[in-house]
Amino acid sequence: MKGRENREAKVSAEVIKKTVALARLEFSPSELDHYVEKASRVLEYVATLGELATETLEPTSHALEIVNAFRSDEVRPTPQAKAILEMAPARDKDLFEVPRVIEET
Amino acid sequence: MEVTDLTVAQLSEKLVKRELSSEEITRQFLNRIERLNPKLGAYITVCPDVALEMAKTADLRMAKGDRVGPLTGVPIALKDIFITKGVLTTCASNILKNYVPPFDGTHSLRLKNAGAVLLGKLNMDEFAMGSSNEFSAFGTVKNPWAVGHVPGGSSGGSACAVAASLCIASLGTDTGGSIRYPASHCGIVGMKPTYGRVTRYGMVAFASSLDQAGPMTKTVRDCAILLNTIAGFDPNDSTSLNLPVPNYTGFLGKKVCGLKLGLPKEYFVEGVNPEVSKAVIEASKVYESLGAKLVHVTLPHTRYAVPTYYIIAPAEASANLARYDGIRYGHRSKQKDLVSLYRKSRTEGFGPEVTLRIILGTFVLSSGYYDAYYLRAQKVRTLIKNDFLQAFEKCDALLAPVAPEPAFKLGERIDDPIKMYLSDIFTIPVNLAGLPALALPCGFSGERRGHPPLPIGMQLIGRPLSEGTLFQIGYAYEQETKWHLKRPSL
Repeated sequence: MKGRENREAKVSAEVIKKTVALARLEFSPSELDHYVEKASRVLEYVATLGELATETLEPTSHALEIVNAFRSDEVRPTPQAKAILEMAPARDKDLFEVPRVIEET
Repeated sequence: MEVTDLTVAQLSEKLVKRELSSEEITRQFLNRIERLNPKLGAYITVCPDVALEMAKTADLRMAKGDRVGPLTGVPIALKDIFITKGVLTTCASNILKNYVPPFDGTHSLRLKNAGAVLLGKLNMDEFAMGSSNEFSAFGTVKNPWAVGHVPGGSSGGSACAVAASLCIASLGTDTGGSIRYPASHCGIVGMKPTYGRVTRYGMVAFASSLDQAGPMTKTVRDCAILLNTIAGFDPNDSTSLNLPVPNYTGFLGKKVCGLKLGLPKEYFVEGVNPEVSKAVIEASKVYESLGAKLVHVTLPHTRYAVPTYYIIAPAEASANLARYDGIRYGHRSKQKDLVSLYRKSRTEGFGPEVTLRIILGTFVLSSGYYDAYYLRAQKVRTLIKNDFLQAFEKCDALLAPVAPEPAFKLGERIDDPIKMYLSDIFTIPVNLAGLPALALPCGFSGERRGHPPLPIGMQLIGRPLSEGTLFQIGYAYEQETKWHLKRPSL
Protein backbone atom coordinates (compact mmCIF):
# COMPACT_ATOMS: atom_id res chain seq x y z
CA MET A 1 0.00 0.00 0.00
CA LYS A 2 2.82 2.40 0.85
CA GLY A 3 4.44 1.82 -2.57
CA ARG A 4 1.17 2.53 -4.30
CA GLU A 5 0.73 5.72 -2.29
CA ASN A 6 4.22 6.86 -3.26
CA ARG A 7 3.51 6.15 -6.95
CA GLU A 8 0.25 8.10 -6.74
CA ALA A 9 2.01 10.98 -5.00
CA LYS A 10 4.75 10.99 -7.68
CA VAL A 11 2.25 10.97 -10.53
CA SER A 12 0.38 13.78 -8.89
CA ALA A 13 3.59 15.83 -8.53
CA GLU A 14 4.41 15.39 -12.24
CA VAL A 15 0.93 16.43 -13.23
CA ILE A 16 1.01 19.45 -10.94
CA LYS A 17 4.31 20.54 -12.46
CA LYS A 18 2.72 20.40 -15.93
CA THR A 19 -0.25 22.33 -14.57
CA VAL A 20 2.05 25.08 -13.32
CA ALA A 21 3.39 25.49 -16.86
CA LEU A 22 -0.17 25.55 -18.27
CA ALA A 23 -1.09 28.27 -15.79
CA ARG A 24 1.83 30.38 -17.04
CA LEU A 25 3.67 30.31 -13.73
CA GLU A 26 7.31 29.50 -13.00
CA PHE A 27 9.09 28.49 -9.79
CA SER A 28 12.45 27.48 -8.41
CA PRO A 29 12.69 23.75 -7.51
CA SER A 30 12.07 24.41 -3.79
CA GLU A 31 9.10 26.70 -4.52
CA LEU A 32 7.68 24.06 -6.85
CA ASP A 33 8.00 21.39 -4.15
CA HIS A 34 6.16 23.71 -1.76
CA TYR A 35 3.23 24.14 -4.15
CA VAL A 36 3.21 20.44 -5.07
CA GLU A 37 2.90 19.57 -1.37
CA LYS A 38 0.13 22.11 -0.72
CA ALA A 39 -1.81 21.29 -3.87
CA SER A 40 -1.55 17.55 -3.22
CA ARG A 41 -3.00 18.02 0.26
CA VAL A 42 -5.95 20.00 -1.04
CA LEU A 43 -6.61 17.58 -3.91
CA GLU A 44 -6.55 14.66 -1.49
CA TYR A 45 -9.10 16.48 0.68
CA VAL A 46 -11.47 17.39 -2.16
CA ALA A 47 -11.38 13.80 -3.44
CA THR A 48 -13.90 13.03 -0.63
CA LEU A 49 -16.55 13.93 -3.20
CA GLY A 50 -15.80 10.48 -4.63
CA GLU A 51 -17.87 9.05 -1.73
CA LEU A 52 -21.06 10.26 -3.39
CA ALA A 53 -22.95 8.61 -6.25
CA THR A 54 -23.23 11.37 -8.83
CA GLU A 55 -23.71 9.50 -12.13
CA THR A 56 -27.38 10.35 -12.56
CA LEU A 57 -27.22 13.92 -11.27
CA GLU A 58 -27.39 17.02 -13.44
CA PRO A 59 -24.52 19.43 -12.86
CA THR A 60 -25.28 22.93 -11.54
CA SER A 61 -23.14 25.63 -13.13
CA HIS A 62 -25.26 28.48 -11.78
CA ALA A 63 -27.51 28.14 -8.73
CA LEU A 64 -30.23 30.30 -10.26
CA GLU A 65 -31.29 29.75 -13.83
CA ILE A 66 -29.62 32.19 -16.16
CA VAL A 67 -30.55 32.91 -19.75
CA ASN A 68 -28.55 34.38 -22.57
CA ALA A 69 -28.68 38.16 -22.30
CA PHE A 70 -28.68 40.10 -25.55
CA ARG A 71 -28.55 43.76 -26.41
CA SER A 72 -29.11 45.49 -29.71
CA ASP A 73 -26.07 45.54 -31.98
CA GLU A 74 -25.23 49.23 -31.70
CA VAL A 75 -21.76 50.70 -31.84
CA ARG A 76 -20.93 52.55 -28.65
CA PRO A 77 -17.90 54.81 -28.19
CA THR A 78 -15.08 53.85 -25.81
CA PRO A 79 -14.24 57.18 -24.14
CA GLN A 80 -11.58 55.60 -21.97
CA ALA A 81 -9.34 54.47 -24.86
CA LYS A 82 -6.66 57.13 -24.16
CA ALA A 83 -6.69 56.40 -20.40
CA ILE A 84 -6.43 52.66 -21.07
CA LEU A 85 -3.38 53.11 -23.29
CA GLU A 86 -1.73 55.33 -20.70
CA MET A 87 -1.71 52.36 -18.32
CA ALA A 88 0.18 50.17 -20.77
CA PRO A 89 3.47 48.85 -19.35
CA ALA A 90 4.94 49.48 -22.81
CA ARG A 91 3.33 51.14 -25.80
CA ASP A 92 4.05 52.29 -29.32
CA LYS A 93 1.56 55.05 -30.17
CA ASP A 94 -1.86 53.34 -29.95
CA LEU A 95 -0.47 49.84 -29.65
CA PHE A 96 0.52 47.75 -26.64
CA GLU A 97 4.15 46.79 -27.17
CA VAL A 98 5.23 43.20 -26.46
CA PRO A 99 8.35 41.08 -27.14
CA ARG A 100 8.66 39.74 -30.67
CA VAL A 101 6.37 36.75 -31.28
CA ILE A 102 7.24 35.94 -34.89
CA GLU A 103 10.72 34.70 -35.77
CA GLU A 104 12.67 36.55 -38.44
CA THR A 105 13.42 34.46 -41.53
CA MET B 1 -21.03 58.85 21.56
CA GLU B 2 -18.55 60.10 18.97
CA VAL B 3 -20.02 61.33 15.69
CA THR B 4 -17.93 58.67 13.95
CA ASP B 5 -19.99 56.05 15.86
CA LEU B 6 -23.22 57.21 14.24
CA THR B 7 -25.12 54.96 11.89
CA VAL B 8 -26.07 55.89 8.32
CA ALA B 9 -29.64 56.58 9.43
CA GLN B 10 -28.57 58.75 12.39
CA LEU B 11 -25.99 60.72 10.40
CA SER B 12 -28.34 61.29 7.50
CA GLU B 13 -30.87 62.86 9.87
CA LYS B 14 -28.23 65.18 11.34
CA LEU B 15 -26.98 66.18 7.89
CA VAL B 16 -30.46 66.98 6.59
CA LYS B 17 -31.18 69.06 9.72
CA ARG B 18 -27.82 70.81 9.19
CA GLU B 19 -26.69 69.83 12.70
CA LEU B 20 -23.51 68.53 11.10
CA SER B 21 -21.90 69.07 7.73
CA SER B 22 -20.53 66.30 5.56
CA GLU B 23 -17.20 68.14 5.42
CA GLU B 24 -16.96 68.23 9.23
CA ILE B 25 -17.67 64.54 9.67
CA THR B 26 -15.46 63.57 6.73
CA ARG B 27 -12.55 65.41 8.38
CA GLN B 28 -13.26 63.60 11.63
CA PHE B 29 -13.08 60.27 9.86
CA LEU B 30 -9.87 61.22 8.06
CA ASN B 31 -8.30 62.17 11.41
CA ARG B 32 -9.46 58.93 13.00
CA ILE B 33 -8.10 56.89 10.07
CA GLU B 34 -4.74 58.65 10.37
CA ARG B 35 -4.63 57.79 14.08
CA LEU B 36 -5.84 54.17 13.97
CA ASN B 37 -5.06 52.75 10.54
CA PRO B 38 -1.33 52.15 11.29
CA LYS B 39 -2.44 49.84 14.13
CA LEU B 40 -5.35 48.13 12.34
CA GLY B 41 -4.30 48.08 8.65
CA ALA B 42 -7.89 48.45 7.42
CA TYR B 43 -7.16 50.85 4.53
CA ILE B 44 -4.90 50.33 1.53
CA THR B 45 -5.68 53.76 0.04
CA VAL B 46 -7.11 56.83 1.73
CA CYS B 47 -8.26 59.56 -0.68
CA PRO B 48 -8.69 62.72 1.40
CA ASP B 49 -8.86 65.16 -1.56
CA VAL B 50 -11.53 63.10 -3.31
CA ALA B 51 -13.43 62.64 -0.05
CA LEU B 52 -13.45 66.32 0.88
CA GLU B 53 -14.50 67.37 -2.62
CA MET B 54 -17.40 64.91 -2.49
CA ALA B 55 -18.32 66.08 1.01
CA LYS B 56 -18.36 69.73 -0.04
CA THR B 57 -20.52 68.88 -3.06
CA ALA B 58 -22.97 67.07 -0.78
CA ASP B 59 -23.07 70.04 1.62
CA LEU B 60 -23.78 72.43 -1.27
CA ARG B 61 -26.63 70.27 -2.49
CA MET B 62 -28.19 70.19 0.96
CA ALA B 63 -27.70 73.93 1.44
CA LYS B 64 -29.53 74.57 -1.87
CA GLY B 65 -32.39 72.41 -0.69
CA ASP B 66 -31.89 69.82 -3.44
CA ARG B 67 -33.67 66.53 -2.99
CA VAL B 68 -31.22 64.25 -1.21
CA GLY B 69 -31.21 60.61 -0.17
CA PRO B 70 -30.14 58.69 2.94
CA LEU B 71 -26.54 58.34 1.70
CA THR B 72 -25.96 61.96 0.68
CA GLY B 73 -22.87 63.24 2.46
CA VAL B 74 -22.31 59.94 4.29
CA PRO B 75 -18.64 58.82 4.45
CA ILE B 76 -18.20 55.23 3.28
CA ALA B 77 -15.31 53.10 2.10
CA LEU B 78 -15.12 50.27 -0.42
CA LYS B 79 -13.31 46.95 -0.42
CA ASP B 80 -10.39 47.37 -2.82
CA ILE B 81 -12.00 44.94 -5.25
CA PHE B 82 -14.46 47.59 -6.47
CA ILE B 83 -13.49 49.60 -9.53
CA THR B 84 -13.28 53.31 -8.66
CA LYS B 85 -12.40 55.79 -11.39
CA GLY B 86 -9.18 57.65 -10.67
CA VAL B 87 -8.64 55.87 -7.33
CA LEU B 88 -6.05 53.08 -7.04
CA THR B 89 -7.68 49.65 -7.12
CA THR B 90 -5.28 46.87 -6.18
CA CYS B 91 -7.34 43.84 -5.02
CA ALA B 92 -4.54 43.70 -2.42
CA SER B 93 -2.27 42.24 -5.10
CA ASN B 94 1.17 43.26 -6.35
CA ILE B 95 0.00 42.49 -9.86
CA LEU B 96 -2.37 45.48 -9.66
CA LYS B 97 -0.34 47.67 -7.32
CA ASN B 98 -0.28 50.49 -9.88
CA TYR B 99 -3.74 50.03 -11.42
CA VAL B 100 -5.86 53.19 -11.47
CA PRO B 101 -9.15 52.41 -13.21
CA PRO B 102 -10.28 54.70 -16.02
CA PHE B 103 -13.93 54.02 -15.27
CA ASP B 104 -16.34 53.55 -12.37
CA GLY B 105 -17.98 50.21 -11.76
CA THR B 106 -21.73 50.20 -11.19
CA HIS B 107 -21.41 49.98 -7.37
CA SER B 108 -19.11 52.99 -7.24
CA LEU B 109 -21.36 54.89 -9.66
CA ARG B 110 -24.60 54.13 -7.80
CA LEU B 111 -23.04 55.24 -4.51
CA LYS B 112 -21.66 58.41 -6.15
CA ASN B 113 -25.07 59.20 -7.61
CA ALA B 114 -26.54 58.72 -4.14
CA GLY B 115 -24.11 61.35 -2.85
CA ALA B 116 -22.02 59.07 -0.65
CA VAL B 117 -18.49 60.26 0.18
CA LEU B 118 -15.63 57.86 -0.62
CA LEU B 119 -13.01 57.88 2.15
CA GLY B 120 -10.80 55.24 0.56
CA LYS B 121 -10.26 51.59 -0.42
CA LEU B 122 -10.15 48.85 2.11
CA ASN B 123 -7.75 45.98 2.64
CA MET B 124 -8.72 42.44 1.78
CA ASP B 125 -7.30 39.02 1.08
CA GLU B 126 -5.68 39.11 -2.37
CA PHE B 127 -8.31 38.77 -5.10
CA ALA B 128 -10.81 37.88 -2.34
CA MET B 129 -9.12 34.52 -1.74
CA GLY B 130 -8.84 34.00 1.98
CA SER B 131 -10.69 33.89 5.29
CA SER B 132 -8.40 35.87 7.56
CA ASN B 133 -7.12 38.94 5.66
CA GLU B 134 -3.58 37.59 6.14
CA PHE B 135 -3.09 37.11 2.39
CA SER B 136 -2.80 40.75 1.38
CA ALA B 137 0.24 42.21 -0.37
CA PHE B 138 -0.42 45.37 1.67
CA GLY B 139 -0.23 44.06 5.21
CA THR B 140 -2.45 42.12 7.58
CA VAL B 141 -5.64 43.57 8.99
CA LYS B 142 -6.19 43.25 12.74
CA ASN B 143 -9.40 42.52 14.57
CA PRO B 144 -10.34 45.79 16.33
CA TRP B 145 -11.72 43.83 19.32
CA ALA B 146 -8.43 41.96 19.82
CA VAL B 147 -5.51 43.02 17.63
CA GLY B 148 -3.74 39.67 18.02
CA HIS B 149 -6.66 38.01 16.19
CA VAL B 150 -7.82 37.96 12.61
CA PRO B 151 -10.77 40.10 11.52
CA GLY B 152 -11.90 37.36 9.16
CA GLY B 153 -11.72 37.61 5.39
CA SER B 154 -11.68 38.25 2.66
CA SER B 155 -13.50 41.55 3.40
CA GLY B 156 -11.44 41.98 6.57
CA GLY B 157 -10.61 45.62 5.97
CA SER B 158 -14.29 46.45 5.44
CA ALA B 159 -15.38 44.66 8.62
CA CYS B 160 -12.58 46.20 10.67
CA ALA B 161 -13.28 49.70 9.34
CA VAL B 162 -17.00 49.57 10.14
CA ALA B 163 -16.45 48.04 13.60
CA ALA B 164 -13.70 50.55 14.45
CA SER B 165 -15.70 53.50 13.09
CA LEU B 166 -13.15 54.24 10.38
CA CYS B 167 -16.11 54.66 8.00
CA ILE B 168 -19.87 54.66 8.55
CA ALA B 169 -20.52 51.72 6.23
CA SER B 170 -18.81 49.69 3.56
CA LEU B 171 -19.35 47.28 0.72
CA GLY B 172 -17.72 43.88 0.70
CA THR B 173 -17.93 40.82 -1.53
CA ASP B 174 -18.98 37.28 -0.63
CA THR B 175 -17.95 34.30 -2.76
CA GLY B 176 -17.65 31.69 0.01
CA GLY B 177 -18.49 33.79 3.08
CA SER B 178 -16.26 36.82 2.70
CA ILE B 179 -18.86 39.33 3.91
CA ARG B 180 -20.53 37.23 6.59
CA TYR B 181 -17.43 35.67 8.12
CA PRO B 182 -15.56 38.93 8.84
CA ALA B 183 -18.85 40.60 9.83
CA SER B 184 -19.30 37.86 12.44
CA HIS B 185 -15.72 38.15 13.72
CA CYS B 186 -15.94 41.95 13.99
CA GLY B 187 -19.43 42.14 15.48
CA ILE B 188 -21.18 43.95 12.62
CA VAL B 189 -23.97 43.29 10.11
CA GLY B 190 -23.24 41.96 6.63
CA MET B 191 -25.44 40.72 3.85
CA LYS B 192 -24.70 38.42 0.94
CA PRO B 193 -27.62 38.99 -1.46
CA THR B 194 -29.16 36.42 -3.80
CA TYR B 195 -26.85 35.67 -6.71
CA GLY B 196 -27.67 38.22 -9.40
CA ARG B 197 -29.47 40.67 -7.07
CA VAL B 198 -26.47 43.01 -7.16
CA THR B 199 -24.43 43.49 -10.33
CA ARG B 200 -20.93 42.10 -10.64
CA TYR B 201 -19.88 44.77 -13.16
CA GLY B 202 -17.28 46.86 -11.39
CA MET B 203 -16.23 44.12 -9.00
CA VAL B 204 -12.99 42.37 -9.99
CA ALA B 205 -13.95 38.79 -10.76
CA PHE B 206 -12.90 35.86 -8.58
CA ALA B 207 -15.50 33.10 -9.16
CA SER B 208 -18.20 34.24 -11.52
CA SER B 209 -20.96 31.81 -10.50
CA LEU B 210 -20.48 32.63 -6.79
CA ASP B 211 -19.39 36.29 -6.41
CA GLN B 212 -21.83 38.80 -4.91
CA ALA B 213 -21.34 42.32 -3.54
CA GLY B 214 -23.14 43.33 -0.37
CA PRO B 215 -23.32 45.91 2.42
CA MET B 216 -21.35 45.78 5.69
CA THR B 217 -22.79 48.07 8.32
CA LYS B 218 -23.35 48.67 12.03
CA THR B 219 -27.09 48.00 11.90
CA VAL B 220 -29.71 46.09 9.94
CA ARG B 221 -31.37 49.38 8.90
CA ASP B 222 -28.13 50.68 7.43
CA CYS B 223 -27.71 47.37 5.57
CA ALA B 224 -31.18 47.76 4.05
CA ILE B 225 -30.42 51.37 3.06
CA LEU B 226 -27.25 50.37 1.26
CA LEU B 227 -28.85 47.40 -0.48
CA ASN B 228 -31.62 49.72 -1.74
CA THR B 229 -28.88 51.74 -3.45
CA ILE B 230 -26.76 49.00 -5.02
CA ALA B 231 -29.34 46.32 -5.90
CA GLY B 232 -31.06 46.08 -9.24
CA PHE B 233 -30.61 45.16 -12.87
CA ASP B 234 -27.46 46.23 -14.68
CA PRO B 235 -27.28 45.67 -18.45
CA ASN B 236 -23.49 45.44 -18.12
CA ASP B 237 -23.81 42.14 -16.18
CA SER B 238 -25.53 39.35 -18.09
CA THR B 239 -26.22 37.47 -14.82
CA SER B 240 -27.87 40.49 -13.19
CA LEU B 241 -31.52 39.73 -12.40
CA ASN B 242 -33.97 41.90 -14.31
CA LEU B 243 -36.52 41.98 -11.49
CA PRO B 244 -37.92 44.85 -9.37
CA VAL B 245 -36.11 45.87 -6.19
CA PRO B 246 -38.47 46.30 -3.22
CA ASN B 247 -37.87 49.03 -0.65
CA TYR B 248 -35.93 46.98 1.88
CA THR B 249 -36.37 49.47 4.73
CA GLY B 250 -40.12 48.88 4.40
CA PHE B 251 -39.64 45.39 5.89
CA LEU B 252 -38.15 46.74 9.13
CA GLY B 253 -40.54 46.64 12.06
CA LYS B 254 -42.78 43.92 10.61
CA LYS B 255 -43.61 41.28 13.18
CA VAL B 256 -42.01 37.83 13.13
CA CYS B 257 -44.91 36.14 14.99
CA GLY B 258 -45.87 32.99 13.11
CA LEU B 259 -42.71 32.84 10.96
CA LYS B 260 -40.91 29.50 10.98
CA LEU B 261 -37.16 29.46 11.61
CA GLY B 262 -35.27 26.30 10.72
CA LEU B 263 -32.26 25.18 12.75
CA PRO B 264 -30.11 22.93 10.53
CA LYS B 265 -28.72 20.13 12.68
CA GLU B 266 -25.44 19.92 10.75
CA TYR B 267 -24.58 23.45 11.92
CA PHE B 268 -24.77 22.58 15.62
CA VAL B 269 -22.54 19.51 15.74
CA GLU B 270 -19.71 18.62 18.08
CA GLY B 271 -16.72 20.58 16.92
CA VAL B 272 -18.59 23.88 16.90
CA ASN B 273 -17.34 26.06 19.76
CA PRO B 274 -19.87 25.66 22.63
CA GLU B 275 -20.02 29.43 23.18
CA VAL B 276 -21.02 29.90 19.51
CA SER B 277 -23.74 27.23 19.68
CA LYS B 278 -25.01 28.67 22.95
CA ALA B 279 -25.20 32.23 21.55
CA VAL B 280 -27.16 31.13 18.47
CA ILE B 281 -29.52 28.91 20.51
CA GLU B 282 -30.11 31.88 22.85
CA ALA B 283 -30.95 33.94 19.78
CA SER B 284 -33.47 31.30 18.70
CA LYS B 285 -35.16 31.68 22.11
CA VAL B 286 -35.47 35.42 21.53
CA TYR B 287 -37.31 34.59 18.32
CA GLU B 288 -39.56 32.14 20.18
CA SER B 289 -40.39 34.87 22.69
CA LEU B 290 -41.44 37.04 19.72
CA GLY B 291 -43.81 34.34 18.50
CA ALA B 292 -41.67 32.70 15.81
CA LYS B 293 -41.72 28.92 15.59
CA LEU B 294 -38.52 26.87 15.61
CA VAL B 295 -38.28 23.87 13.30
CA HIS B 296 -35.49 21.31 13.13
CA VAL B 297 -34.27 20.72 9.58
CA THR B 298 -31.42 18.86 7.97
CA LEU B 299 -28.96 19.81 5.22
CA PRO B 300 -27.41 16.36 4.80
CA HIS B 301 -24.70 17.26 2.27
CA THR B 302 -23.22 20.11 4.33
CA ARG B 303 -19.90 18.33 4.87
CA TYR B 304 -19.32 18.13 1.12
CA ALA B 305 -19.71 21.88 0.60
CA VAL B 306 -16.12 22.87 1.36
CA PRO B 307 -14.53 20.29 -0.99
CA THR B 308 -17.09 21.21 -3.67
CA TYR B 309 -16.25 24.88 -3.31
CA TYR B 310 -12.51 24.29 -3.39
CA ILE B 311 -12.88 22.70 -6.79
CA ILE B 312 -15.38 25.12 -8.35
CA ALA B 313 -14.04 28.43 -6.98
CA PRO B 314 -10.37 27.86 -7.92
CA ALA B 315 -11.49 26.58 -11.34
CA GLU B 316 -13.41 29.78 -12.02
CA ALA B 317 -10.62 31.87 -10.48
CA SER B 318 -7.98 30.30 -12.73
CA ALA B 319 -10.05 31.40 -15.74
CA ASN B 320 -10.73 34.89 -14.38
CA LEU B 321 -7.12 35.54 -13.41
CA ALA B 322 -5.77 34.49 -16.82
CA ARG B 323 -6.24 38.12 -17.89
CA TYR B 324 -3.38 39.25 -15.62
CA ASP B 325 -0.63 38.69 -18.14
CA GLY B 326 1.41 41.90 -17.91
CA ILE B 327 0.38 43.05 -21.39
CA ARG B 328 -2.19 45.83 -21.05
CA TYR B 329 -1.98 46.94 -17.39
CA GLY B 330 -0.58 45.91 -14.03
CA HIS B 331 2.81 44.46 -13.25
CA ARG B 332 5.02 43.46 -16.19
CA SER B 333 8.34 41.69 -15.84
CA LYS B 334 10.83 42.73 -18.56
CA GLN B 335 11.53 39.62 -20.56
CA LYS B 336 12.89 38.86 -24.04
CA ASP B 337 10.13 36.45 -25.12
CA LEU B 338 6.39 36.48 -24.64
CA VAL B 339 5.94 33.23 -22.70
CA SER B 340 8.64 34.27 -20.21
CA LEU B 341 6.89 37.63 -19.87
CA TYR B 342 3.64 35.88 -18.98
CA ARG B 343 5.27 33.45 -16.55
CA LYS B 344 7.48 35.94 -14.74
CA SER B 345 4.87 38.71 -14.56
CA ARG B 346 2.31 36.36 -13.07
CA THR B 347 4.68 34.57 -10.71
CA GLU B 348 6.12 37.85 -9.45
CA GLY B 349 2.70 39.49 -9.17
CA PHE B 350 0.54 36.87 -7.46
CA GLY B 351 0.79 35.97 -3.77
CA PRO B 352 0.98 32.42 -2.38
CA GLU B 353 -2.74 31.69 -1.80
CA VAL B 354 -3.79 33.04 -5.20
CA THR B 355 -0.99 31.03 -6.81
CA LEU B 356 -2.13 27.85 -5.07
CA ARG B 357 -5.72 28.35 -6.19
CA ILE B 358 -4.71 29.05 -9.79
CA ILE B 359 -2.76 25.76 -9.77
CA LEU B 360 -5.72 23.86 -8.27
CA GLY B 361 -8.19 25.46 -10.66
CA THR B 362 -6.08 24.82 -13.74
CA PHE B 363 -5.63 21.18 -12.69
CA VAL B 364 -9.32 20.42 -12.09
CA LEU B 365 -10.25 21.86 -15.48
CA SER B 366 -7.49 20.09 -17.39
CA SER B 367 -8.02 17.23 -19.80
CA GLY B 368 -8.28 13.88 -18.03
CA TYR B 369 -9.24 15.43 -14.68
CA TYR B 370 -12.23 17.58 -15.61
CA ASP B 371 -14.85 14.83 -15.12
CA ALA B 372 -13.43 13.46 -11.87
CA TYR B 373 -13.13 16.85 -10.24
CA TYR B 374 -14.97 19.79 -11.81
CA LEU B 375 -17.97 17.97 -13.31
CA ARG B 376 -18.37 15.90 -10.14
CA ALA B 377 -18.25 19.07 -8.00
CA GLN B 378 -20.98 20.66 -10.13
CA LYS B 379 -23.15 17.59 -9.53
CA VAL B 380 -22.59 17.75 -5.78
CA ARG B 381 -23.53 21.42 -6.01
CA THR B 382 -26.95 20.19 -7.21
CA LEU B 383 -27.29 18.07 -4.05
CA ILE B 384 -26.35 21.01 -1.81
CA LYS B 385 -28.81 23.32 -3.55
CA ASN B 386 -31.57 20.70 -3.27
CA ASP B 387 -30.90 20.33 0.49
CA PHE B 388 -31.87 23.99 0.92
CA LEU B 389 -34.93 23.73 -1.34
CA GLN B 390 -36.20 20.85 0.77
CA ALA B 391 -35.48 22.68 4.05
CA PHE B 392 -37.44 25.71 2.83
CA GLU B 393 -40.53 23.54 2.44
CA LYS B 394 -40.61 23.46 6.24
CA CYS B 395 -39.51 26.99 7.20
CA ASP B 396 -39.32 30.61 6.07
CA ALA B 397 -35.64 31.06 6.85
CA LEU B 398 -32.77 29.23 8.49
CA LEU B 399 -30.92 30.36 11.61
CA ALA B 400 -27.34 29.19 12.03
CA PRO B 401 -23.89 30.22 13.23
CA VAL B 402 -21.65 32.01 10.72
CA ALA B 403 -18.40 30.48 11.95
CA PRO B 404 -17.60 27.37 13.99
CA GLU B 405 -15.57 29.43 16.45
CA PRO B 406 -14.72 33.07 17.22
CA ALA B 407 -11.77 34.80 15.51
CA PHE B 408 -8.57 32.75 15.66
CA LYS B 409 -5.12 34.20 16.32
CA LEU B 410 -2.99 35.79 13.60
CA GLY B 411 -0.70 33.22 12.02
CA GLU B 412 -2.56 30.25 13.49
CA ARG B 413 -3.80 28.75 10.19
CA ILE B 414 -1.72 30.45 7.55
CA ASP B 415 0.37 27.33 6.79
CA ASP B 416 -2.54 24.86 6.85
CA PRO B 417 -4.83 25.43 3.86
CA ILE B 418 -7.38 22.76 4.88
CA LYS B 419 -7.80 24.15 8.37
CA MET B 420 -8.15 27.65 6.90
CA TYR B 421 -10.70 26.46 4.32
CA LEU B 422 -12.81 24.75 7.01
CA SER B 423 -13.39 28.18 8.63
CA ASP B 424 -16.01 28.72 5.91
CA ILE B 425 -17.89 25.47 6.52
CA PHE B 426 -21.16 27.27 7.37
CA THR B 427 -20.95 30.06 4.83
CA ILE B 428 -19.92 28.23 1.64
CA PRO B 429 -23.15 26.18 1.18
CA VAL B 430 -25.13 29.43 0.83
CA ASN B 431 -22.94 30.63 -2.05
CA LEU B 432 -23.15 27.28 -3.83
CA ALA B 433 -26.94 27.51 -3.62
CA GLY B 434 -27.03 31.19 -4.68
CA LEU B 435 -29.12 32.16 -1.65
CA PRO B 436 -29.24 35.39 0.36
CA ALA B 437 -27.93 35.45 3.93
CA LEU B 438 -27.72 38.13 6.61
CA ALA B 439 -25.07 37.98 9.33
CA LEU B 440 -25.57 39.90 12.54
CA PRO B 441 -23.98 39.93 16.00
CA CYS B 442 -25.52 37.70 18.68
CA GLY B 443 -23.01 37.65 21.51
CA PHE B 444 -19.42 37.54 22.67
CA SER B 445 -17.10 34.78 23.74
CA GLY B 446 -15.96 34.89 27.36
CA GLU B 447 -12.89 36.82 28.36
CA ARG B 448 -9.79 34.67 28.50
CA ARG B 449 -6.16 35.12 29.47
CA GLY B 450 -4.56 36.42 26.34
CA HIS B 451 -7.56 38.01 24.71
CA PRO B 452 -10.66 40.04 25.46
CA PRO B 453 -14.16 38.85 24.53
CA LEU B 454 -14.59 38.19 20.81
CA PRO B 455 -17.78 38.76 18.79
CA ILE B 456 -20.04 35.88 17.80
CA GLY B 457 -22.30 36.17 14.77
CA MET B 458 -25.38 34.35 13.51
CA GLN B 459 -26.75 34.19 10.01
CA LEU B 460 -30.26 34.10 8.62
CA ILE B 461 -30.45 32.26 5.30
CA GLY B 462 -33.44 32.74 3.03
CA ARG B 463 -35.05 31.65 -0.19
CA PRO B 464 -33.92 33.40 -3.38
CA LEU B 465 -34.84 37.11 -3.38
CA SER B 466 -36.02 37.05 0.25
CA GLU B 467 -33.67 39.82 1.40
CA GLY B 468 -36.63 41.79 2.72
CA THR B 469 -37.76 38.90 4.93
CA LEU B 470 -34.22 38.48 6.23
CA PHE B 471 -34.09 42.18 7.14
CA GLN B 472 -37.47 41.82 8.85
CA ILE B 473 -36.28 38.87 10.92
CA GLY B 474 -32.83 40.35 11.64
CA TYR B 475 -34.25 43.73 12.68
CA ALA B 476 -36.67 42.10 15.11
CA TYR B 477 -33.79 40.40 16.93
CA GLU B 478 -31.63 43.51 16.84
CA GLN B 479 -34.33 45.62 18.50
CA GLU B 480 -34.56 43.10 21.38
CA THR B 481 -30.79 43.02 22.02
CA LYS B 482 -27.88 45.42 22.44
CA TRP B 483 -25.01 43.65 20.64
CA HIS B 484 -25.10 46.14 17.75
CA LEU B 485 -24.49 49.03 20.17
CA LYS B 486 -21.17 47.72 21.43
CA ARG B 487 -17.95 49.26 20.10
CA PRO B 488 -14.34 48.15 20.59
CA SER B 489 -12.26 50.46 22.76
CA LEU B 490 -9.47 51.88 20.62
